[in-house]
Amino acid sequence: MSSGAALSIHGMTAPAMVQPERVRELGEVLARAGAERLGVCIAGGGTKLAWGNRPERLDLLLCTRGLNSPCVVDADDLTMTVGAGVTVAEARARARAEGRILPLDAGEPERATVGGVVATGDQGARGAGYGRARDLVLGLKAVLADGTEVSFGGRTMKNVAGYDMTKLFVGSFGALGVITEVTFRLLPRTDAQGLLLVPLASLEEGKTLAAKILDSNLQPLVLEAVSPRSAASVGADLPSRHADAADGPLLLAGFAGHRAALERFVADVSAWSGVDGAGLLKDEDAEAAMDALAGFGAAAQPVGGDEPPSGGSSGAARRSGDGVFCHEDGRCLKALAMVPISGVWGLAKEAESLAEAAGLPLEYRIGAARGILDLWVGPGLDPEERAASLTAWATDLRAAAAAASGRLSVTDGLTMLASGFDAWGEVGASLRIMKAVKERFDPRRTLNPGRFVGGL
Amino acid sequence: MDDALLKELRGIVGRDNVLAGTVDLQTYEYDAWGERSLPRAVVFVHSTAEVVTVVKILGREGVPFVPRGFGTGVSGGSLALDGAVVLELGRMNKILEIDLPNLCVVVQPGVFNWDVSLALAPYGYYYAPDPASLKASSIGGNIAENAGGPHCFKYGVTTNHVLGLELVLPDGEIVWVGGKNAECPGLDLTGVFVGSEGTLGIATAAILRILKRPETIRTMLGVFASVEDAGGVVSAIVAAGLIPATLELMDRRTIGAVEDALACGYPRDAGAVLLIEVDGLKDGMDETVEQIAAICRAHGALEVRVAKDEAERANLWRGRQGTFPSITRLAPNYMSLDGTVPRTMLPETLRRVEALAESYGLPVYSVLHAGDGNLHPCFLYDGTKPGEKEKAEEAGMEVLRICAELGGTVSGEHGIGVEKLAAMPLVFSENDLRAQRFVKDAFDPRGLCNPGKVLPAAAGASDGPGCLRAGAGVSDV
Repeated sequence: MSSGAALSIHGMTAPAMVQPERVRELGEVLARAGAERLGVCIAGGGTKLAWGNRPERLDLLLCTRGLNSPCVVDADDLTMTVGAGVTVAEARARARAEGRILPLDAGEPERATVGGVVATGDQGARGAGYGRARDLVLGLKAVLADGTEVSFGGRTMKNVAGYDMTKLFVGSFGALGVITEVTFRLLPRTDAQGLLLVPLASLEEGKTLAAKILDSNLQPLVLEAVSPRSAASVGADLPSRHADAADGPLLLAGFAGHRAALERFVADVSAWSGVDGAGLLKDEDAEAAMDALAGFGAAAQPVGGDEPPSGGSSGAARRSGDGVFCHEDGRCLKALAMVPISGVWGLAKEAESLAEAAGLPLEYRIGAARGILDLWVGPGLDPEERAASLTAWATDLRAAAAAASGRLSVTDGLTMLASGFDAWGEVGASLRIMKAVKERFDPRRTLNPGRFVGGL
Repeated sequence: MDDALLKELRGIVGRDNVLAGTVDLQTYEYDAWGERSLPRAVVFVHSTAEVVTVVKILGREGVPFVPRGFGTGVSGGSLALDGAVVLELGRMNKILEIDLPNLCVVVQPGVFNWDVSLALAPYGYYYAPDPASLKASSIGGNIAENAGGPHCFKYGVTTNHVLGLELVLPDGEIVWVGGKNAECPGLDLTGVFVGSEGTLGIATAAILRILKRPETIRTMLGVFASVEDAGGVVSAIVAAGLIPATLELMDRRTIGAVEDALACGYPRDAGAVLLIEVDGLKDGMDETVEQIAAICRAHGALEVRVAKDEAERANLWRGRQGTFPSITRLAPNYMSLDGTVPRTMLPETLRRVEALAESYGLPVYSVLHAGDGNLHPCFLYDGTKPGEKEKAEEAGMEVLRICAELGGTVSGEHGIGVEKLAAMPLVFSENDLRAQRFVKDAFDPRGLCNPGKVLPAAAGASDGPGCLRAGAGVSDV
């Protein structure tokens, strides 16, 4: 066990950190932590330590990076089994070496671990075609709070033996157990891929075009839009951007499949967009741009005035010299809204209006086929004043999301908001069952205590 | 059932909507699995409010209950055990909303699967999961069993298409889980409810994801000398970067049975046929079909037939859709299995199943969702002969043991129900089962909702290892 004075979550410091190398060791750590009534927070690559609420207790930070059993790729079966501590980039490279795609499109793939991405249910831009994280996991292994090892699902596409515990663990934010190994379904590599970049005059225009694409047979791999100033950060070089659309958002429509089908996709979307300046990135270029789009959350940073966005991280999380992750409060408030897909454009508009009224710089990424809106607001505000304006913005936008039958989570910068602001918002009547599940899996509240929804 | 309680229930749902006479109840004492257990009563419910009231009354009296759709389940999941009352949901059969901009529909549980796609057809959309029972099974039942179907290789099973559910919990409280928003922070209760076989509560409305109908569908039949050859084609198609919508495989004996019954033109001398369907944009489709045909030929296909029109397509499918009746008419009883293995293990699995059938002296017919690694070997037997049923049950358990050994599992789409309770320890440790009991206990601490299903009793409580239980009904593959 190493000392790690720098480890903190929302300003709380973990007095110790442990990085088990074996599942059995992890079980022993958790059993002992439970017996001693410790609060254990879980980290993979440390990219999402700012998610969730302030822990009730933080006695130990558990790092899963040591659970890095080698990836087993079964190319013919289209499955891959990988240790939770392996990074997404490494797992993807292993699948790629076998001519397959790991359809897990996470931000910061060089740092984010497979286990962390599954535990948070994160899925990036290519989720439009790949599906939700929950739909890609065929099976997983975990260690429960009392140290017992469990295994759910398996390596087959279909599995209805017992309850679908795999679904329960995907996105469970470490509240029920620590994921140690995951089996994914893989996809074959396709003939061709392309990413079409369509400058938009307005969000309204984007909504109309996205609706047209979604109501077609085109089945996009990616259907996103980014705020005007962020276009450059996704590697979009648009030599012939339409003059009228220069200040508008940028729509990105991606496709993978047969080369002839890609041509059809490009022809249809270009025709519907009515924009001459639609740019097309093909194959490797398209893939690189889609990768950049996935990393957008890490790279994007709102800037004041006309300054171009910097390509660096938001500063929310940094790797310290000894390989231990520390976390300082982000200078930037990040939020993630989840709404029925048709509501995502209106909510982006609302976010923009609210930010403008409060003088807050804002960047966004719209997942038009996913119903996801990623938002970045701040920074550059007077720390004395920002709490009030950011809290008001987040509160109002959360209400707007709720009015659109959706939800809003704060995924970074919670400490900049007024104390008591809940990172996840109201859950509704089903919280009762979630609490009952938590009580049975983790009666001593050992794992990520208080960090997940409803104080779970 | 005591008269006061019957009277109270009739006061809620109407006099004619509660059955309590033995003859009436006998209609509801079995499902498509075939074994029987008489319910205490049957209550037809018409609204979420009625479900709530009935569940609360039964809870007050400590009477267990079982939600039921149209009884097409093949593992005994809707059987009323322990004197349970059946809640018949077939009359809650409305499509509540078609929401095209959000690519979803909201339906009641008693809607037939097929009717969802029928209602969406005018808009060019459909609901993807397609169990063979789709014209007879309810969405609520599909959700309870996490139903599959031939098209799941590309499109996934029921759970991949359920966005949200209105649930009446076992204590009568209504909660919504999930929603029209695909992502929702919190534990994925929708995910754990789908496939829970009616043991965690009653789904009274469901939000289902819908898909645009493919622009083009092309269907072909590959004829092979052996199951190994056909299995090799499945891997080669995947390796070529193609994801067909379906990859359905039939073995030699099954081909013969189908031809005897339906004469749809499958070659009797073939060792296996592979029904392949691809769908998507019309652009590049001819090339894709030719590519698949070439892969078939490279793997020793004796013949590749590509359907030229809808009539030919229907004919190719006719044999597959009629497979089960064609087999089961050959003997008084059958036992159908539903194991899955990683798809490359299918040829070996079938070899071992064949050897097993021979050693038990039982004829076996196999039909497979080859893309998913899901196999349905069907053993024929005569239940009137002493020991035959037990023999079939033993052979069935051996098949599931083989699937588990080869890295698969004991049910791909039919569910555990009562039938496969004894097979659960083949794939789950006591710790795995204990975690699943946590879930059951969190939803239903009193154990009133569909007792006796899915989870075997905790270790020590049972009388030693059980065996698979053969049913006697019409199966659904």
